Amino acid sequence: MKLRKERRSIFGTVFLALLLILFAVFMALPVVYMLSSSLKPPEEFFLFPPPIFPKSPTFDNFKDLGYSLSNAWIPFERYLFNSILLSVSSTLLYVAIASMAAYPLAKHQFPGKAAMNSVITLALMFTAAVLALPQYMILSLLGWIDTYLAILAPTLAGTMGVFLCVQFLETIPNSVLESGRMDGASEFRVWWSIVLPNIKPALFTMIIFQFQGAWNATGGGLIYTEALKTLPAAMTQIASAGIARAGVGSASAFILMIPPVLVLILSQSNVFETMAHSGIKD
Amino acid sequence: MKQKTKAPAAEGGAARLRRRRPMSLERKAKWSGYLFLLPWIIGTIYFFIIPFCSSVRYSFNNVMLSGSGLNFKFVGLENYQFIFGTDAEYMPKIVSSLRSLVTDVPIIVVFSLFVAMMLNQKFHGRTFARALFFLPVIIASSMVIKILNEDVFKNTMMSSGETSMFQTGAIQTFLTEKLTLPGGLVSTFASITSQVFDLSWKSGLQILLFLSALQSIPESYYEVCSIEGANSWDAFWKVTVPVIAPNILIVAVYTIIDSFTDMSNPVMADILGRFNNLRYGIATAAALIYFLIIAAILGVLALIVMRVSRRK
Repeated sequence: MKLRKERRSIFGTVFLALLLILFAVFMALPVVYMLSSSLKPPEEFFLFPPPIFPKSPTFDNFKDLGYSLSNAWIPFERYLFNSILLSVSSTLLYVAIASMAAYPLAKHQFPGKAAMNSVITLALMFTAAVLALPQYMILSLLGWIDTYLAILAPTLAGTMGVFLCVQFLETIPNSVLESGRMDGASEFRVWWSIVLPNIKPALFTMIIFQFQGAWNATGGGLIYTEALKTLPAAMTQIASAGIARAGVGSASAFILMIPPVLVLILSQSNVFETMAHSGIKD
Repeated sequence: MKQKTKAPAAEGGAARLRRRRPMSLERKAKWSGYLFLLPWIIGTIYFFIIPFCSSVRYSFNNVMLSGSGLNFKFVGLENYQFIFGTDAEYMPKIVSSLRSLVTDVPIIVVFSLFVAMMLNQKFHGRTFARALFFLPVIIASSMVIKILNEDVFKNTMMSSGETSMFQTGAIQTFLTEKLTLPGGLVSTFASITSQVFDLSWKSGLQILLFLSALQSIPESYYEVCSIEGANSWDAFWKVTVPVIAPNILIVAVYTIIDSFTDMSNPVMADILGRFNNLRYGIATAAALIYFLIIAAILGVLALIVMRVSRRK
């Protein structure tokens, strides 16, 4: 990379920087707009064209949101607790299940392997919305409706993570795993000490996605007890009331965005910087 | 499999082990393989295979909601006949979504590879830039974007309810009136920016997949290139593309699935609309037809790739 870097002309650098800035603006604009909307007093929502930055910024929307939440029937902390419990447990369980499943699917030979790999691709295509009704029937047969499990269980059934892990694992040379086995490691030990560190980027990608998905689960139609509902469910109820609540809507969107973005920031160095090289010269 | 590809250094040990306990490693691996898969298999059976089979059953029935639960009346192929015959809207929607797929997938793949290569360069603020490009993945498809779309953008900027904020009158009016740009130029600009915007918001995971693939290319490959006198263009085609070829396929497959199952896709909206109207039988039949078409496309893609890689 060093050699190539020296050869890059000034024109190239400027062009690259401009392009990146252009795309970055696209990425950041909705977030900036949301943040500025959350600081706008109600009357500024009727201005046309809408100002990008609020003229007289105020924290009223956040106060309003806090007031609605703290005077709700169920305390705010309860919603927060539900959300954190569900998203953390869903993320940890999913990463464990998917990475365990991916190991034999990528590296072992056994009857039924090809069938399972095609089930993964099929499940990727068949979207959750279409399966919602039959899934509901199963959840009700199991007696899980109106429990935490009704939200948790379906989030664990996604196959995107298994798909990702299998793809990552296939690029890792078998000799690395074999050397572990030669040293007497059990299969579990091989998975824990060799497979997991080597697919770290895939694991952290999964963490980002799964946390994001689980954090946003509202459990609509599966949960009736208000005390079991999640924070997004509560926030959407507060925010959905047309233009009069647009500021509160932005404020709640902003608050809801914080945890997934925190997970992203904490995980991203692991996703990007640790493409660990297997240390094997083929 | 494993035995064939092991490192030369481990050969002696492996041979000794095999002689003492024939097949033991193999058998152990096989059984622990099933153990590793067990949690996933249970989940898949309960939340994919059983629901999938019941939706196949729904598609041959007239499903009605009643006080005691779901009522089924077997109607054979009637639901399918309805979709292919009576319903004039569904198939054209599928055709148009296929048509947009033909243009969208190559553009998204090339765009995300391009951005990934830029983000793979060394520059100041690289970590920040990478986080920024991954932001859409966090925000899109979440409650945040739902609140934004339904309560903020729709009420303030998006009178038409479009998903892209650059299509809206507000920005266009701003450009024509405040900056006094000619109207034609502004509308062209708006349509291009809105497309780039959509594109960049759809490419988050693809960029990530390409980035990690690019980082797995050993530096030494490029050193060989420059020693041999190849320029970066040659290096791209002779090193980068062949090494990341499998990842290009993964990204293409993911992009196809993603654009097919996206809730904003007209066909998906159609299917969901039927579900919400409680026409479960017809909705599942429609979904299954759609599913078979996606499966066929991915199958053809896999066949082409296998052909190409075998030729090499």
